[in-house]
Amino acid sequence: MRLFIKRLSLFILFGLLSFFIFFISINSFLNTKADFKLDSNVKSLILGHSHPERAYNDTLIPFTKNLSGAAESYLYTLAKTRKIIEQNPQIKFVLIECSNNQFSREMDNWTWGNKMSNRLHIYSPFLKTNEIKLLFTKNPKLFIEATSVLFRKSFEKILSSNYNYTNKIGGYSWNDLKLEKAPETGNQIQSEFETSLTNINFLKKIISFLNSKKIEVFLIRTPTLKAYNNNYSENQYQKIIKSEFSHTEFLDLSKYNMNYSNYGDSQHMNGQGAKEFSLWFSKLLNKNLLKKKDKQLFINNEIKARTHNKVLW
Amino acid sequence: MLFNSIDFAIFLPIIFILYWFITNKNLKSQNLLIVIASYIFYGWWDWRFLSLILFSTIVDYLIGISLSKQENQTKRKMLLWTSIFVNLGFLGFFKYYNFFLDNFINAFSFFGTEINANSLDIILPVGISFYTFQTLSYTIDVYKQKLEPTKDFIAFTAFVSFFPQLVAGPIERATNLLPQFYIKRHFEYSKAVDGMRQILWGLFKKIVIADNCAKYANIIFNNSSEYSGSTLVLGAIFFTFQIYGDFSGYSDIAIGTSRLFGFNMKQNFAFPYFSRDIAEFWRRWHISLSTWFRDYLYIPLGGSRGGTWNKIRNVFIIFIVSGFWHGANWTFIVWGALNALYFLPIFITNNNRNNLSIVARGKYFPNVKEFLSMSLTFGLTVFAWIFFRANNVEHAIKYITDIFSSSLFSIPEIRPSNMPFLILFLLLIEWRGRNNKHALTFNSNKKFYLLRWVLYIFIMLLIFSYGGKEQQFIYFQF
Repeated sequence: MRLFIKRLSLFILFGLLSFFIFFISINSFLNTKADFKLDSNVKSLILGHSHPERAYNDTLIPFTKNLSGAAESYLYTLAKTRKIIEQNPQIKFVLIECSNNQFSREMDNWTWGNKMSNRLHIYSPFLKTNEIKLLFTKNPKLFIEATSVLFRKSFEKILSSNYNYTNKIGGYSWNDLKLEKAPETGNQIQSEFETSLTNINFLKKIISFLNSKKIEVFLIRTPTLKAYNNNYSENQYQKIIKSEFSHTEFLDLSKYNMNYSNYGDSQHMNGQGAKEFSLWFSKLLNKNLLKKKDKQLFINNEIKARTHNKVLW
Repeated sequence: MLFNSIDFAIFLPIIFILYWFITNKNLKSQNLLIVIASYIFYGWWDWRFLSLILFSTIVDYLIGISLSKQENQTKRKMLLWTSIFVNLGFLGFFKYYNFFLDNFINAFSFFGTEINANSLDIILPVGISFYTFQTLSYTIDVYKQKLEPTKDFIAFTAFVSFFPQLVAGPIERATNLLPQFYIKRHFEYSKAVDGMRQILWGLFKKIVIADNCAKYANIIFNNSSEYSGSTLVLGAIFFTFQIYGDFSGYSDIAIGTSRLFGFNMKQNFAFPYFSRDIAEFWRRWHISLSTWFRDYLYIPLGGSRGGTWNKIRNVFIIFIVSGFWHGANWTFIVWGALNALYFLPIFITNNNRNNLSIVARGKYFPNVKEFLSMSLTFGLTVFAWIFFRANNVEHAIKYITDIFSSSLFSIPEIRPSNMPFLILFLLLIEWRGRNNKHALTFNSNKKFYLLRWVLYIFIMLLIFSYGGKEQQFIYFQF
């Protein structure tokens, strides 16, 4: 019995060590092989979660690539950004979505909650040791489950010799849903939300990384319907923007008014809405938005100037 | 509790430690611990069904004792029929009530008489078909005086509810398993290590092979009308490996676990997909069930004695009942009948015992004849599994018709890149170990010690990589 327990413990130890070595090897192998190359004419990137993913149809916005991914928190955006910038030195501008919900506690769940298994297998090779440690300590059970998916997907990746990541890390997503009626706006009382310091810190890290690479960074806020915005206090949001990101330019596009029928739900534009909004946004870029002195004033004036100021929400 | 769950991964070491360190001095406490562990294991699904298994245990225990005291043949027969009635009554009610009711209603409506009867919303107790057959074997053997009835209620309860094989077999005979509860078990290193290997291989078959094949088989079978003939063939092949990985994997885990506790169970799957004819296949597939039907149904019916028609009748009965045992659906009956049709020609021509030894014994590769006969047998089983997996007989026929279309020779729409490698790995390991009780058997050759550990770690890595999601074992529903 003693021999059995001794050998079993030794085997478990050997097994854990092998898993650890395998984890490191697979990550470093994929990190070396990963292909994040974009078209050489892409000069601007749009990053963020599902709001920009559904809003910026990059086929209508010249020299721009939308690489936003649904339900993506800033930790994974950071991992993505490092690799894209490393392999695409032509990038000059990065626009990062920064909407109210991205400061809320909900983002912690996006980072190490159930969504981890959908993210870790893509981004694990590009995460730093302390970032992996954070995920493990915050949710060891889900981390192990997500590692299982990572191993499986990596096997498949290696078997198919397909190391291209550009079509796996996000991109404009056509949404053909259509809201049938304007959603209820509720009692207009905007609720205070618990903040996610982790997500805020990772956003800061993205900005600081891009700054170190001499890339211009802009925080943007994509339009959503008022009914959705009521879920998160605007005052609290503005406070965070002013206190934590005062050195980064903030372009608030959320006042861009669109009929509810241009939305698939209260927070995501549908294909039709994205087309209209992207064409308008493209015009702004053509008018040198990113070089203007007072960009927000310019945006506000452009919004006002829109002729089809119809009934909105 | 599922074998491939975190719950079981915690449960098993706890019971193992208690068994060998706390209760190892005393047989009664070893048996009592097995009973408690088994009831916890079973109650993890639904504690309400514990009453059912307990009732069945009490009935058969008392009938066993009564049979030993009773010398009047008529009364003995009555006791036997009471056991059969109670056990098959439960099974019939929980598993077949709605099937018979629906068919009864359909049959009457066919002749123009409408019957109003509502089917019941019955939950099938996990493993009822397995423990029912196990307890029945005890009563029948006691009745036939092949076995002394036990007076030790704890030992008998442990035999009926023994957790490794309680919910999906193997269906152990009382003559083999029950006496093992009368003797105090001693820890055997080699047995425990081999048990661990068998568990590892069982987990591989379940998690890596069965669950992955299930993913593709389900997609293809559930949307069969949308796929080409070649994809449908692939779907049937995936299901063929799914059911093998699922059921033989479960059996391996069960047998391996029981070995950790010092028990020996009979082999339940002996590499059936390497069979050279259908008779050999049925000697190697779900052995505990086939032999159960052989001993308690086929032989009492007359077996292979009597005229040709009697033989044919008996073969059909045993295959159809075996099919029906798997589920209350006409698809299982057709599957059974189809296997009877496969079996009959070689049985009638007395060729059913041609391939008794393992294929290509002592050789690395089979010869051409062996390879062709293995391929043909495999093809026939794949075809029969279509009926087993289809939602109903019409679906199976449509599935088969769609296979034999012009698209049979097109490139399949579903081509998972990892599956050929995984299935090939399964076949290689099983081929290497086909002379043994399970595929991962090794002799204690120290030369390849490290190599063996590398293989185990590789298998563990595969299990871990494919174990993200838990899925129910198919055979629980039977």
